[in-house]
Amino acid sequence: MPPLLTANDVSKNFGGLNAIANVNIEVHPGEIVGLIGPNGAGKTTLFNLITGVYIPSGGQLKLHGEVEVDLAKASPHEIAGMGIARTFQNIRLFKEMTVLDNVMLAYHVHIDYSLWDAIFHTPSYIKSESELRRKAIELLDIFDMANKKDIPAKNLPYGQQRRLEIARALALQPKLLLLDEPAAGMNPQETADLMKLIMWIKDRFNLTILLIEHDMSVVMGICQRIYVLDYGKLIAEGTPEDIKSNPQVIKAYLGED
Amino acid sequence: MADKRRNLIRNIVTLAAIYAIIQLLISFDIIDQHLQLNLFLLCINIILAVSLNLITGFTGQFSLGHAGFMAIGAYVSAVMTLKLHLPFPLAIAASAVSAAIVGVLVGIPTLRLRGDYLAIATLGLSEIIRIIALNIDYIGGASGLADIPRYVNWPWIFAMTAGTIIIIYNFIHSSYGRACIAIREDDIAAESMGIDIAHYKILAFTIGAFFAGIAGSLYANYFYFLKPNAFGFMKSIDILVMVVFGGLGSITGSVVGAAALTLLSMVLQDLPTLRMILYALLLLVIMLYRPQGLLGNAELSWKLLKRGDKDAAATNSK
Repeated sequence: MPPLLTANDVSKNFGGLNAIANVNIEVHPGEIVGLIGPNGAGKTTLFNLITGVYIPSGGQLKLHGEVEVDLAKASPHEIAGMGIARTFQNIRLFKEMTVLDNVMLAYHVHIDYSLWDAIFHTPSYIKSESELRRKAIELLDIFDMANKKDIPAKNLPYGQQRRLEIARALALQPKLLLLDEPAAGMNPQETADLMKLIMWIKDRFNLTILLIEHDMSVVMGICQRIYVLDYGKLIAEGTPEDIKSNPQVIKAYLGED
Repeated sequence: MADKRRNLIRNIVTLAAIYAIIQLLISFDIIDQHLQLNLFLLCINIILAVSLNLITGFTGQFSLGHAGFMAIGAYVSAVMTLKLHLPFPLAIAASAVSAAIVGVLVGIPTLRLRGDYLAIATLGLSEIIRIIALNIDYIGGASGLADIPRYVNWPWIFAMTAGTIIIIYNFIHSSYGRACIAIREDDIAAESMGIDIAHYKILAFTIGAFFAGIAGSLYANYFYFLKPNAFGFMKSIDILVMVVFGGLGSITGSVVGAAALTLLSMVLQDLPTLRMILYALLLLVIMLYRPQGLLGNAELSWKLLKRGDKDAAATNSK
Protein backbone atom coordinates (compact mmCIF):
# COMPACT_ATOMS: atom_id res chain seq x y z
CA MET A 1 0.00 0.00 0.00
CA PRO A 2 1.41 3.47 -0.83
CA PRO A 3 2.35 5.65 2.13
CA LEU A 4 0.04 8.39 3.44
CA LEU A 5 2.79 10.66 4.66
CA THR A 6 6.40 10.81 3.55
CA ALA A 7 9.30 12.87 4.84
CA ASN A 8 12.20 12.86 2.43
CA ASP A 9 15.52 14.15 3.72
CA VAL A 10 13.72 16.76 5.82
CA SER A 11 15.83 19.26 7.75
CA LYS A 12 15.07 22.22 9.97
CA ASN A 13 17.66 24.67 11.22
CA PHE A 14 17.12 27.38 13.79
CA GLY A 15 20.10 29.65 13.23
CA GLY A 16 23.07 27.33 13.64
CA LEU A 17 21.10 24.60 15.40
CA ASN A 18 20.01 21.59 13.38
CA ALA A 19 16.77 20.66 15.12
CA ILE A 20 16.01 18.09 12.43
CA ALA A 21 18.67 16.77 10.04
CA ASN A 22 17.91 14.70 6.95
CA VAL A 23 15.05 12.73 8.40
CA ASN A 24 13.23 10.12 6.30
CA ILE A 25 9.89 8.84 7.48
CA GLU A 26 7.01 6.93 5.91
CA VAL A 27 3.61 6.46 7.48
CA HIS A 28 1.22 4.02 5.84
CA PRO A 29 -2.58 4.16 6.03
CA GLY A 30 -3.97 2.41 9.08
CA GLU A 31 -0.69 2.26 10.96
CA ILE A 32 0.11 3.46 14.47
CA VAL A 33 3.67 4.74 14.28
CA GLY A 34 5.66 5.81 17.31
CA LEU A 35 8.18 8.63 17.41
CA ILE A 36 10.53 8.45 20.38
CA GLY A 37 13.78 9.95 21.52
CA PRO A 38 15.37 11.82 24.43
CA ASN A 39 14.26 15.36 25.31
CA GLY A 40 15.26 17.85 22.66
CA ALA A 41 15.62 15.20 19.97
CA GLY A 42 13.35 17.11 17.58
CA LYS A 43 10.13 15.11 17.87
CA THR A 44 7.79 18.05 18.37
CA THR A 45 9.73 20.01 15.74
CA LEU A 46 8.89 17.25 13.28
CA PHE A 47 5.20 17.54 14.25
CA ASN A 48 5.39 21.30 13.72
CA LEU A 49 6.91 20.71 10.29
CA ILE A 50 4.17 18.25 9.32
CA THR A 51 1.41 20.62 10.46
CA GLY A 52 2.93 23.63 8.73
CA VAL A 53 3.82 25.62 11.84
CA TYR A 54 7.44 25.54 10.62
CA ILE A 55 8.66 25.47 7.04
CA PRO A 56 11.38 22.87 6.39
CA SER A 57 14.87 24.22 5.66
CA GLY A 58 15.40 21.32 3.28
CA GLY A 59 13.86 18.12 1.99
CA GLN A 60 10.28 17.25 1.13
CA LEU A 61 7.22 16.57 3.21
CA LYS A 62 4.27 15.14 1.36
CA LEU A 63 0.77 14.04 2.15
CA HIS A 64 -0.54 11.47 -0.31
CA GLY A 65 -4.29 11.72 -0.26
CA GLU A 66 -6.45 11.77 -3.36
CA VAL A 67 -3.90 14.27 -4.62
CA GLU A 68 -0.32 14.66 -3.53
CA VAL A 69 0.27 17.75 -1.41
CA ASP A 70 3.56 19.45 -0.61
CA LEU A 71 3.14 20.28 3.07
CA ALA A 72 5.98 22.82 2.96
CA LYS A 73 3.84 25.03 0.76
CA ALA A 74 0.61 24.85 2.79
CA SER A 75 -0.33 26.91 5.82
CA PRO A 76 -1.38 25.24 9.10
CA HIS A 77 -5.10 25.79 8.58
CA GLU A 78 -4.95 24.39 5.05
CA ILE A 79 -3.10 21.33 6.29
CA ALA A 80 -5.76 20.83 8.97
CA GLY A 81 -8.39 21.05 6.25
CA MET A 82 -6.57 18.36 4.25
CA GLY A 83 -7.03 15.93 7.11
CA ILE A 84 -4.07 16.21 9.49
CA ALA A 85 -5.17 16.87 13.07
CA ARG A 86 -2.96 17.10 16.11
CA THR A 87 -2.86 17.41 19.86
CA PHE A 88 -0.27 19.39 21.78
CA GLN A 89 2.37 18.43 24.31
CA ASN A 90 1.28 21.22 26.64
CA ILE A 91 -2.50 21.01 26.25
CA ARG A 92 -3.93 23.80 24.12
CA LEU A 93 -7.67 23.77 24.66
CA PHE A 94 -9.89 26.81 24.19
CA LYS A 95 -10.06 27.23 27.95
CA GLU A 96 -12.98 29.62 28.36
CA MET A 97 -15.12 27.83 25.79
CA THR A 98 -17.37 24.99 26.90
CA VAL A 99 -16.37 21.39 26.30
CA LEU A 100 -19.05 21.17 23.60
CA ASP A 101 -17.91 24.37 21.88
CA ASN A 102 -14.34 23.08 21.79
CA VAL A 103 -15.53 20.10 19.77
CA MET A 104 -18.02 22.04 17.67
CA LEU A 105 -15.29 24.53 16.70
CA ALA A 106 -13.31 21.73 15.11
CA TYR A 107 -16.20 21.00 12.74
CA HIS A 108 -15.75 24.49 11.33
CA VAL A 109 -13.94 23.37 8.18
CA HIS A 110 -16.93 21.15 7.37
CA ILE A 111 -19.77 23.59 7.97
CA ASP A 112 -22.13 24.10 5.07
CA TYR A 113 -23.87 27.36 5.94
CA SER A 114 -22.69 30.81 4.94
CA LEU A 115 -21.95 33.94 6.94
CA TRP A 116 -25.37 35.30 5.91
CA ASP A 117 -27.09 32.18 7.19
CA ALA A 118 -25.24 32.68 10.49
CA ILE A 119 -26.12 36.35 10.85
CA PHE A 120 -29.80 35.89 10.05
CA HIS A 121 -30.22 32.45 11.65
CA THR A 122 -31.80 31.04 8.50
CA PRO A 123 -33.33 27.54 8.43
CA SER A 124 -30.13 26.20 6.89
CA TYR A 125 -28.15 27.59 9.85
CA ILE A 126 -30.58 26.10 12.35
CA LYS A 127 -30.57 22.72 10.60
CA SER A 128 -26.81 22.30 10.26
CA GLU A 129 -26.07 23.77 13.68
CA SER A 130 -28.35 21.26 15.41
CA GLU A 131 -26.92 18.44 13.30
CA LEU A 132 -23.43 19.56 14.26
CA ARG A 133 -24.40 19.71 17.90
CA ARG A 134 -25.72 16.17 17.72
CA LYS A 135 -22.49 14.91 16.15
CA ALA A 136 -20.36 16.73 18.72
CA ILE A 137 -22.34 15.24 21.61
CA GLU A 138 -22.07 11.81 20.03
CA LEU A 139 -18.30 12.23 19.87
CA LEU A 140 -18.13 13.44 23.47
CA ASP A 141 -20.15 10.39 24.45
CA ILE A 142 -17.38 8.14 23.11
CA PHE A 143 -15.03 9.94 25.46
CA ASP A 144 -17.48 9.73 28.40
CA MET A 145 -17.70 13.49 28.56
CA ALA A 146 -21.18 14.22 27.23
CA ASN A 147 -22.37 15.01 30.75
CA LYS A 148 -19.70 17.69 31.03
CA LYS A 149 -20.50 19.40 27.75
CA ASP A 150 -21.57 22.71 29.25
CA ILE A 151 -18.66 23.40 31.57
CA PRO A 152 -15.65 25.49 30.50
CA ALA A 153 -12.79 23.32 29.26
CA LYS A 154 -10.42 24.80 31.85
CA ASN A 155 -12.50 23.26 34.64
CA LEU A 156 -11.91 19.68 33.49
CA PRO A 157 -9.43 17.54 35.38
CA TYR A 158 -6.07 17.14 33.66
CA GLY A 159 -6.62 13.66 32.25
CA GLN A 160 -9.94 14.67 30.73
CA GLN A 161 -8.40 17.77 29.20
CA ARG A 162 -6.01 15.48 27.34
CA ARG A 163 -8.92 13.33 26.20
CA LEU A 164 -10.91 16.37 25.13
CA GLU A 165 -7.98 17.45 22.99
CA ILE A 166 -8.14 14.11 21.20
CA ALA A 167 -11.91 14.41 20.81
CA ARG A 168 -11.48 17.88 19.33
CA ALA A 169 -8.87 16.59 16.89
CA LEU A 170 -11.26 13.82 15.81
CA ALA A 171 -14.04 16.31 15.12
CA LEU A 172 -11.87 17.62 12.31
CA GLN A 173 -12.45 14.19 10.71
CA PRO A 174 -8.77 13.68 9.93
CA LYS A 175 -7.03 10.96 7.98
CA LEU A 176 -3.83 11.36 9.97
CA LEU A 177 -3.82 12.04 13.69
CA LEU A 178 -0.68 13.35 15.39
CA LEU A 179 -0.60 12.81 19.15
CA ASP A 180 2.07 14.66 21.11
CA GLU A 181 2.65 12.81 24.39
CA PRO A 182 -0.97 11.83 24.97
CA ALA A 183 -0.12 9.92 28.16
CA ALA A 184 2.00 12.62 29.76
CA GLY A 185 1.03 13.16 33.38
CA MET A 186 -1.45 10.29 33.46
CA ASN A 187 -1.48 7.59 36.13
CA PRO A 188 -1.12 3.90 35.07
CA GLN A 189 -4.88 3.32 35.06
CA GLU A 190 -5.53 6.40 32.90
CA THR A 191 -2.69 5.37 30.60
CA ALA A 192 -4.16 1.89 30.14
CA ASP A 193 -7.57 3.40 29.34
CA LEU A 194 -5.94 5.80 26.91
CA MET A 195 -4.23 2.94 25.04
CA LYS A 196 -7.54 1.14 24.66
CA LEU A 197 -9.14 4.37 23.50
CA ILE A 198 -6.47 5.06 20.88
CA MET A 199 -6.76 1.54 19.46
CA TRP A 200 -10.54 1.85 19.41
CA ILE A 201 -10.76 5.24 17.70
CA LYS A 202 -8.18 4.15 15.13
CA ASP A 203 -10.53 1.40 13.94
CA ARG A 204 -13.74 3.36 14.45
CA PHE A 205 -12.60 6.43 12.51
CA ASN A 206 -10.29 4.70 10.04
CA LEU A 207 -7.29 6.64 11.24
CA THR A 208 -3.58 6.62 10.75
CA ILE A 209 -1.76 7.70 13.88
CA LEU A 210 1.70 9.12 14.47
CA LEU A 211 2.46 9.55 18.14
CA ILE A 212 5.21 10.95 20.31
CA GLU A 213 5.42 9.33 23.70
CA HIS A 214 7.89 8.92 26.54
CA ASP A 215 5.88 6.22 28.27
CA MET A 216 7.42 3.06 26.79
CA SER A 217 4.50 0.88 27.83
CA VAL A 218 2.32 2.92 25.48
CA VAL A 219 4.79 2.99 22.62
CA MET A 220 5.64 -0.71 22.85
CA GLY A 221 2.00 -1.61 23.49
CA ILE A 222 0.24 0.01 20.56
CA CYS A 223 2.76 1.02 17.89
CA GLN A 224 3.40 -1.22 14.93
CA ARG A 225 6.55 0.62 13.97
CA ILE A 226 8.80 3.05 15.80
CA TYR A 227 11.20 5.77 14.68
CA VAL A 228 13.90 6.94 17.09
CA LEU A 229 15.27 10.46 16.92
CA ASP A 230 18.37 11.72 18.71
CA TYR A 231 19.83 15.20 18.25
CA GLY A 232 17.65 15.71 15.19
CA LYS A 233 18.86 12.55 13.45
CA LEU A 234 17.01 9.35 12.86
CA ILE A 235 19.05 6.69 14.66
CA ALA A 236 16.77 3.68 14.35
CA GLU A 237 13.50 2.41 12.98
CA GLY A 238 11.67 -0.85 13.25
CA THR A 239 9.17 -2.91 15.20
CA PRO A 240 9.00 -2.49 18.99
CA GLU A 241 11.11 -5.69 19.37
CA ASP A 242 13.85 -4.34 17.09
CA ILE A 243 13.93 -1.03 18.92
CA LYS A 244 14.08 -2.56 22.40
CA SER A 245 17.27 -4.42 21.55
CA ASN A 246 18.87 -1.80 19.32
CA PRO A 247 22.23 -0.85 20.88
CA GLN A 248 22.17 2.69 19.45
CA VAL A 249 18.79 3.39 21.02
CA ILE A 250 19.96 2.10 24.37
CA LYS A 251 23.03 4.29 24.06
CA ALA A 252 20.93 7.37 23.25
CA TYR A 253 18.70 6.83 26.23
CA LEU A 254 21.19 5.61 28.82
CA GLY A 255 24.45 7.12 27.60
CA GLU A 256 27.76 5.32 27.14
CA ASP A 257 29.98 3.81 29.79
CA MET B 1 -37.31 23.59 19.17
CA ALA B 2 -40.57 24.74 20.81
CA ASP B 3 -38.42 26.44 23.41
CA LYS B 4 -36.56 28.29 20.71
CA ARG B 5 -39.76 29.48 19.08
CA ARG B 6 -41.12 30.66 22.43
CA ASN B 7 -37.93 32.61 23.10
CA LEU B 8 -38.06 34.15 19.66
CA ILE B 9 -41.62 35.34 20.26
CA ARG B 10 -40.64 36.66 23.69
CA ASN B 11 -37.72 38.55 22.16
CA ILE B 12 -39.89 40.12 19.49
CA VAL B 13 -42.54 41.10 22.02
CA THR B 14 -39.92 42.61 24.34
CA LEU B 15 -38.34 44.61 21.54
CA ALA B 16 -41.71 45.85 20.30
CA ALA B 17 -42.66 46.84 23.83
CA ILE B 18 -39.44 48.79 24.37
CA TYR B 19 -39.93 50.52 21.05
CA ALA B 20 -43.58 51.41 21.67
CA ILE B 21 -43.13 52.60 25.24
CA ILE B 22 -40.29 54.94 24.39
CA GLN B 23 -42.10 56.17 21.29
CA LEU B 24 -45.11 56.99 23.46
CA LEU B 25 -42.98 58.72 26.07
CA ILE B 26 -41.43 60.83 23.33
CA SER B 27 -44.81 61.70 21.80
CA PHE B 28 -46.19 62.81 25.17
CA ASP B 29 -43.02 64.79 25.81
CA ILE B 30 -42.25 62.88 29.00
CA ILE B 31 -38.87 62.22 27.40
CA ASP B 32 -38.00 65.85 26.63
CA GLN B 33 -35.34 67.13 24.23
CA HIS B 34 -32.61 66.86 26.83
CA LEU B 35 -33.46 63.29 27.82
CA GLN B 36 -33.93 62.32 24.21
CA LEU B 37 -30.48 63.57 23.34
CA ASN B 38 -28.99 61.42 26.07
CA LEU B 39 -31.11 58.45 25.09
CA PHE B 40 -29.88 58.68 21.52
CA LEU B 41 -26.31 59.09 22.69
CA LEU B 42 -26.79 56.02 24.85
CA CYS B 43 -27.97 53.97 21.87
CA ILE B 44 -25.07 55.18 19.72
CA ASN B 45 -22.72 54.17 22.52
CA ILE B 46 -24.36 50.75 22.69
CA ILE B 47 -23.70 50.25 18.98
CA LEU B 48 -20.08 51.32 19.45
CA ALA B 49 -19.50 49.17 22.52
CA VAL B 50 -21.11 46.04 21.09
CA SER B 51 -19.18 46.34 17.85
CA LEU B 52 -15.87 46.97 19.64
CA ASN B 53 -16.60 43.98 21.84
CA LEU B 54 -16.67 41.77 18.75
CA ILE B 55 -13.13 42.90 17.91
CA THR B 56 -11.61 43.16 21.38
CA GLY B 57 -13.75 40.98 23.62
CA PHE B 58 -14.58 38.06 21.37
CA THR B 59 -11.75 37.95 18.84
CA GLY B 60 -9.17 39.21 21.34
CA GLN B 61 -7.75 41.97 19.14
CA PHE B 62 -6.94 44.90 21.41
CA SER B 63 -8.11 47.90 19.36
CA LEU B 64 -7.84 51.56 20.34
CA GLY B 65 -9.08 52.84 17.00
CA HIS B 66 -12.83 52.53 17.19
CA ALA B 67 -13.41 56.29 17.16
CA GLY B 68 -11.59 56.36 13.82
CA PHE B 69 -14.14 54.04 12.22
CA MET B 70 -16.91 56.11 13.75
CA ALA B 71 -15.35 59.28 12.29
CA ILE B 72 -15.33 57.77 8.80
CA GLY B 73 -19.03 56.95 9.10
CA ALA B 74 -19.89 60.37 10.51
CA TYR B 75 -18.06 62.32 7.81
CA VAL B 76 -19.27 60.17 4.92
CA SER B 77 -22.83 60.54 6.12
CA ALA B 78 -22.49 64.28 6.73
CA VAL B 79 -20.98 64.95 3.33
CA MET B 80 -23.59 62.86 1.54
CA THR B 81 -26.57 64.47 3.23
CA LEU B 82 -25.28 68.03 3.66
CA LYS B 83 -23.17 68.57 0.56
CA LEU B 84 -24.61 66.11 -1.93
CA HIS B 85 -28.22 66.19 -0.67
CA LEU B 86 -28.56 62.45 -0.95
CA PRO B 87 -31.22 60.55 1.00
CA PHE B 88 -30.28 59.42 4.50
CA PRO B 89 -30.79 55.65 3.97
CA LEU B 90 -28.19 55.81 1.22
CA ALA B 91 -25.86 57.86 3.41
CA ILE B 92 -26.04 55.47 6.34
CA ALA B 93 -25.38 52.50 4.06
CA ALA B 94 -22.42 54.27 2.49
CA SER B 95 -21.07 55.19 5.94
CA ALA B 96 -21.19 51.60 7.10
CA VAL B 97 -19.58 50.28 3.93
CA SER B 98 -16.78 52.86 3.85
CA ALA B 99 -15.97 52.27 7.52
CA ALA B 100 -15.93 48.53 6.80
CA ILE B 101 -13.52 49.05 3.90
CA VAL B 102 -11.19 50.98 6.18
CA GLY B 103 -11.63 48.14 8.67
CA VAL B 104 -10.30 45.69 6.08
CA LEU B 105 -7.42 48.00 5.30
CA VAL B 106 -6.53 48.24 9.00
CA GLY B 107 -6.99 44.54 9.47
CA ILE B 108 -4.48 43.48 6.83
CA PRO B 109 -1.28 45.26 7.91
CA THR B 110 -1.97 44.71 11.60
CA LEU B 111 -2.41 40.94 11.26
CA ARG B 112 1.06 40.23 12.53
CA LEU B 113 0.60 42.44 15.57
CA ARG B 114 -0.96 41.46 18.83
CA GLY B 115 -1.65 42.95 22.25
CA ASP B 116 -0.04 46.31 22.96
CA TYR B 117 1.49 46.58 19.50
CA LEU B 118 -1.88 46.20 17.83
CA ALA B 119 -3.36 48.77 20.22
CA ILE B 120 -0.69 51.27 19.25
CA ALA B 121 -1.14 50.60 15.53
CA THR B 122 -4.93 51.02 15.68
CA LEU B 123 -4.54 54.13 17.82
CA GLY B 124 -2.17 55.54 15.23
CA LEU B 125 -4.62 54.79 12.48
CA SER B 126 -7.53 56.54 14.16
CA GLU B 127 -5.29 59.56 14.78
CA ILE B 128 -4.39 59.57 11.09
CA ILE B 129 -8.09 59.62 10.22
CA ARG B 130 -8.70 62.47 12.65
CA ILE B 131 -5.78 64.51 11.35
CA ILE B 132 -6.76 63.98 7.74
CA ALA B 133 -10.25 65.27 8.61
CA LEU B 134 -8.63 68.19 10.37
CA ASN B 135 -6.79 69.18 7.21
CA ILE B 136 -9.44 68.86 4.54
CA ASP B 137 -11.16 72.19 3.99
CA TYR B 138 -14.02 70.61 2.09
CA ILE B 139 -15.24 69.00 5.31
CA GLY B 140 -14.61 72.06 7.42
CA GLY B 141 -11.14 71.37 8.79
CA ALA B 142 -10.76 72.01 12.51
CA SER B 143 -14.03 73.92 12.83
CA GLY B 144 -15.94 70.96 11.41
CA LEU B 145 -19.28 70.75 9.66
CA ALA B 146 -22.43 72.47 10.87
CA ASP B 147 -26.09 72.35 9.89
CA ILE B 148 -26.05 68.70 8.97
CA PRO B 149 -29.67 67.73 8.33
CA ARG B 150 -31.27 65.91 11.22
CA TYR B 151 -32.78 62.71 9.85
CA VAL B 152 -32.29 60.53 12.87
CA ASN B 153 -35.36 59.86 14.97
CA TRP B 154 -36.34 57.18 17.44
CA PRO B 155 -37.33 54.56 14.82
CA TRP B 156 -33.91 54.90 13.16
CA ILE B 157 -31.96 54.75 16.40
CA PHE B 158 -33.99 51.84 17.67
CA ALA B 159 -33.75 49.83 14.47
CA MET B 160 -30.00 50.32 14.19
CA THR B 161 -29.28 49.54 17.83
CA ALA B 162 -31.48 46.44 17.90
CA GLY B 163 -30.10 45.37 14.51
CA THR B 164 -26.49 45.69 15.69
CA ILE B 165 -27.11 43.68 18.83
CA ILE B 166 -29.04 40.94 17.01
CA ILE B 167 -26.58 40.59 14.14
CA ILE B 168 -23.49 40.52 16.35
CA TYR B 169 -25.18 38.15 18.79
CA ASN B 170 -26.11 35.81 15.94
CA PHE B 171 -22.61 36.00 14.50
CA ILE B 172 -21.03 35.11 17.85
CA HIS B 173 -23.37 32.15 18.26
CA SER B 174 -22.42 30.56 14.96
CA SER B 175 -19.45 28.57 13.77
CA TYR B 176 -17.89 31.81 12.53
CA GLY B 177 -18.20 33.35 15.98
CA ARG B 178 -16.72 30.26 17.57
CA ALA B 179 -13.77 30.60 15.21
CA CYS B 180 -13.22 34.18 16.43
CA ILE B 181 -13.43 33.15 20.09
CA ALA B 182 -11.04 30.26 19.45
CA ILE B 183 -8.50 32.72 18.03
CA ARG B 184 -8.77 34.74 21.23
CA GLU B 185 -8.33 31.63 23.36
CA ASP B 186 -5.39 30.07 21.54
CA ASP B 187 -4.46 31.08 18.02
CA ILE B 188 -2.01 28.22 17.47
CA ALA B 189 -4.61 25.62 18.40
CA ALA B 190 -7.24 27.43 16.31
CA GLU B 191 -4.98 27.30 13.29
CA SER B 192 -4.30 23.62 13.79
CA MET B 193 -8.07 23.06 13.84
CA GLY B 194 -8.35 24.54 10.37
CA ILE B 195 -9.26 28.12 11.26
CA ASP B 196 -7.83 30.70 8.86
CA ILE B 197 -6.72 33.17 11.53
CA ALA B 198 -6.00 36.06 9.16
CA HIS B 199 -9.41 35.73 7.55
CA TYR B 200 -11.30 35.86 10.83
CA LYS B 201 -9.26 38.67 12.34
CA ILE B 202 -10.01 40.78 9.27
CA LEU B 203 -13.65 39.70 9.34
CA ALA B 204 -13.97 40.82 12.96
CA PHE B 205 -12.40 44.19 12.16
CA THR B 206 -14.67 44.58 9.14
CA ILE B 207 -17.91 43.80 10.95
CA GLY B 208 -16.88 45.91 13.95
CA ALA B 209 -15.98 48.86 11.72
CA PHE B 210 -19.21 48.46 9.73
CA PHE B 211 -21.32 49.06 12.84
CA ALA B 212 -19.03 51.82 14.12
CA GLY B 213 -19.68 53.50 10.75
CA ILE B 214 -23.42 53.24 11.36
CA ALA B 215 -22.95 54.76 14.81
CA GLY B 216 -21.00 57.63 13.23
CA SER B 217 -23.71 58.24 10.67
CA LEU B 218 -26.42 58.34 13.35
CA TYR B 219 -24.28 60.73 15.36
CA ALA B 220 -23.72 63.10 12.44
CA ASN B 221 -27.34 63.21 11.37
CA TYR B 222 -28.67 63.72 14.85
CA PHE B 223 -26.33 66.28 16.39
CA TYR B 224 -26.27 68.76 13.45
CA PHE B 225 -22.63 69.36 14.09
CA LEU B 226 -19.35 67.47 13.60
CA LYS B 227 -15.76 68.26 14.36
CA PRO B 228 -12.65 66.09 14.18
CA ASN B 229 -11.82 66.44 17.86
CA ALA B 230 -14.96 64.54 18.81
CA PHE B 231 -13.23 61.43 17.44
CA GLY B 232 -9.95 61.69 19.26
CA PHE B 233 -8.11 59.19 21.39
CA MET B 234 -10.42 59.82 24.36
CA LYS B 235 -13.47 58.70 22.41
CA SER B 236 -11.81 55.35 21.64
CA ILE B 237 -10.89 55.01 25.29
CA ASP B 238 -14.47 55.83 26.32
CA ILE B 239 -15.80 53.01 24.15
CA LEU B 240 -13.16 50.60 25.42
CA VAL B 241 -14.04 51.50 29.01
CA MET B 242 -17.71 50.66 28.37
CA VAL B 243 -16.71 47.27 26.99
CA VAL B 244 -14.32 46.46 29.82
CA PHE B 245 -16.78 47.76 32.42
CA GLY B 246 -19.56 45.53 31.14
CA GLY B 247 -17.34 42.51 30.57
CA LEU B 248 -15.16 41.55 27.62
CA GLY B 249 -16.97 38.75 25.88
CA SER B 250 -20.52 39.63 26.91
CA ILE B 251 -22.88 41.49 24.59
CA THR B 252 -25.29 42.12 27.44
CA GLY B 253 -22.30 43.50 29.33
CA SER B 254 -21.52 45.98 26.58
CA VAL B 255 -25.12 47.18 26.56
CA VAL B 256 -25.08 47.58 30.33
CA GLY B 257 -21.64 49.22 30.26
CA ALA B 258 -22.63 51.70 27.57
CA ALA B 259 -25.87 52.53 29.38
CA ALA B 260 -24.25 52.89 32.81
CA LEU B 261 -21.43 55.13 31.67
CA THR B 262 -23.62 57.30 29.44
CA LEU B 263 -26.05 57.82 32.30
CA LEU B 264 -23.21 58.60 34.68
CA SER B 265 -21.93 61.26 32.29
CA MET B 266 -25.43 62.65 31.96
CA VAL B 267 -26.00 62.92 35.69
CA LEU B 268 -22.63 64.53 36.27
CA GLN B 269 -22.48 66.78 33.24
CA ASP B 270 -22.75 69.94 35.33
CA LEU B 271 -19.72 68.89 37.33
CA PRO B 272 -17.14 68.07 34.65
CA THR B 273 -14.19 67.81 37.03
CA LEU B 274 -15.99 65.59 39.48
CA ARG B 275 -17.20 63.51 36.56
CA MET B 276 -13.71 62.53 35.49
CA ILE B 277 -12.75 61.69 39.06
CA LEU B 278 -15.81 59.53 39.61
CA TYR B 279 -15.30 57.87 36.26
CA ALA B 280 -11.74 56.93 37.22
CA LEU B 281 -12.80 55.77 40.68
CA LEU B 282 -15.53 53.59 39.24
CA LEU B 283 -13.04 51.96 36.91
CA LEU B 284 -10.59 51.37 39.74
CA VAL B 285 -13.25 49.70 41.83
CA ILE B 286 -14.31 47.48 38.93
CA MET B 287 -10.74 46.49 38.11
CA LEU B 288 -9.96 45.71 41.76
CA TYR B 289 -13.10 43.83 42.69
CA ARG B 290 -14.43 42.51 39.40
CA PRO B 291 -11.65 42.45 36.83
CA GLN B 292 -13.74 40.41 34.39
CA GLY B 293 -16.29 43.27 34.20
CA LEU B 294 -19.85 43.41 35.50
CA LEU B 295 -21.10 40.42 33.54
CA GLY B 296 -17.87 38.55 32.82
CA ASN B 297 -18.76 36.53 29.74
CA ALA B 298 -22.33 35.72 30.75
CA GLU B 299 -25.31 36.75 28.64
CA LEU B 300 -28.77 37.68 29.78
CA SER B 301 -31.28 35.11 28.55
CA TRP B 302 -34.77 33.90 29.32
CA LYS B 303 -33.36 30.73 30.80
CA LEU B 304 -31.17 32.74 33.15
CA LEU B 305 -34.11 34.89 34.26
CA LYS B 306 -36.13 31.82 35.05
CA ARG B 307 -33.44 30.23 37.14
CA GLY B 308 -33.37 33.29 39.32
CA ASP B 309 -30.71 35.71 40.33
CA LYS B 310 -28.95 33.39 42.74
CA ASP B 311 -27.96 30.86 40.07
CA ALA B 312 -27.10 33.62 37.65
CA ALA B 313 -24.64 35.06 40.13
CA ALA B 314 -23.12 31.61 40.59
CA THR B 315 -22.52 31.11 36.86
CA ASN B 316 -21.08 34.57 36.53
CA SER B 317 -18.48 34.11 39.21
CA LYS B 318 -17.15 30.89 37.64
